[in-house]
Amino acid sequence: MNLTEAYAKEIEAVFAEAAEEIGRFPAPFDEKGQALLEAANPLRANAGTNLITFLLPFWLKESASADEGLCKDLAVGNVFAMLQFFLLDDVMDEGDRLGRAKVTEALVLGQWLQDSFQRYYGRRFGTEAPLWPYYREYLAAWATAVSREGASPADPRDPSGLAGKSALVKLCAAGMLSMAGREDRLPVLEEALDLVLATLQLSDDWADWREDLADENRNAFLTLAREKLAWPEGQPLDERAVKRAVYQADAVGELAGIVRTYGERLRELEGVPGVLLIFCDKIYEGLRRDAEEAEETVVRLALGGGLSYILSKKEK
Amino acid sequence: MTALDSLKVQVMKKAWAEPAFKSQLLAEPKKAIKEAFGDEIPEDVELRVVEESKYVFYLTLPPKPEDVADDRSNRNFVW
Repeated sequence: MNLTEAYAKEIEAVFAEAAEEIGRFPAPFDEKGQALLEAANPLRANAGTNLITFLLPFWLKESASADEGLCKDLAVGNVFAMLQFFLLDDVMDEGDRLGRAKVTEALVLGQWLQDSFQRYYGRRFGTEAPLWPYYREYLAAWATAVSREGASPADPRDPSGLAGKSALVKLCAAGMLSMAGREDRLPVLEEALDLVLATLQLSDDWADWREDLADENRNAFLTLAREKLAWPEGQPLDERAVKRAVYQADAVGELAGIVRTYGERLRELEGVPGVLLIFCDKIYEGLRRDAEEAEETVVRLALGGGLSYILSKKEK
Repeated sequence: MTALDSLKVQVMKKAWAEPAFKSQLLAEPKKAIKEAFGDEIPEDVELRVVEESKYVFYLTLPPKPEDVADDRSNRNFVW
């Protein structure tokens, strides 16, 4: 199942409405906001994006006995929050490189997006709604996670730690369940979402390890690489060492194994929407393929020798 | 068999059959292969040829994968 294709109609509708709302921001934030939105649309080619953020309300529709309108409003609200956090992340990670003008632009656009998020959620949840204490709880989890990031090595086996930065993704679940009078189901769903978000974070860490070498503690895959290599504490990793962990110590295989245990735990939880399992399985399959490709490279090199390997690479 | 493997087989067959080609292959491998087969070994590659006999064999140790491989991720979901 290709999730983007399966939910194309919903994605189209959500992004169209978000574009309309952003189009009402004062210039130049209308255009800049729409460009940012477009770049995050999975229906556009080469868009790197986060399906779970805006599809989760639809995935929870049945468990929360929700109507389509509620799912859509929360999905659109989530898009605004997602974009706002993209901007915040950029400023946190690259603020000194971006310069004052770009930082100002990002933070101002972020404020407009935050305002839109509040308006969309506010339509559905009044000031006294049980949702808002959950909002503060998830916001606190996010704040703790980003403030402490890098202070100690990210732990690949700690799902709630890995999911901390994305805690606000759980907000729509809290909202939908509280509206349906099913808040009793929230702890299970929160655990399930932590497992899914942790899986996504691990996949992200594997893909981005090179960029994170300068700040190893942020990246759980690098923690795993150190472990597999029995790398001396206090000595920074380098690219060659991490590749050795990949090709000679099955670091990606180990990562896939951890993700599989998250999937197994997810299956033990009752009432988790099937699509969340599919989502995690796909990530697991991607990691397994990467681990197998690494092993194939090693075998090819060992059997065919260096010349065959180098020439076959140049042919590609 | 890949195109590369079949080139290797052709080179070996020619070297077994033609002493002159074998001498050239041992002395200037890249030139010999280019002239006989038209295949160009990249400039940044240095190629050496060794000959095994009935009782003397070579086990070639390839370079470490971390020195020659690029890892690519199949990641399909991102933030």
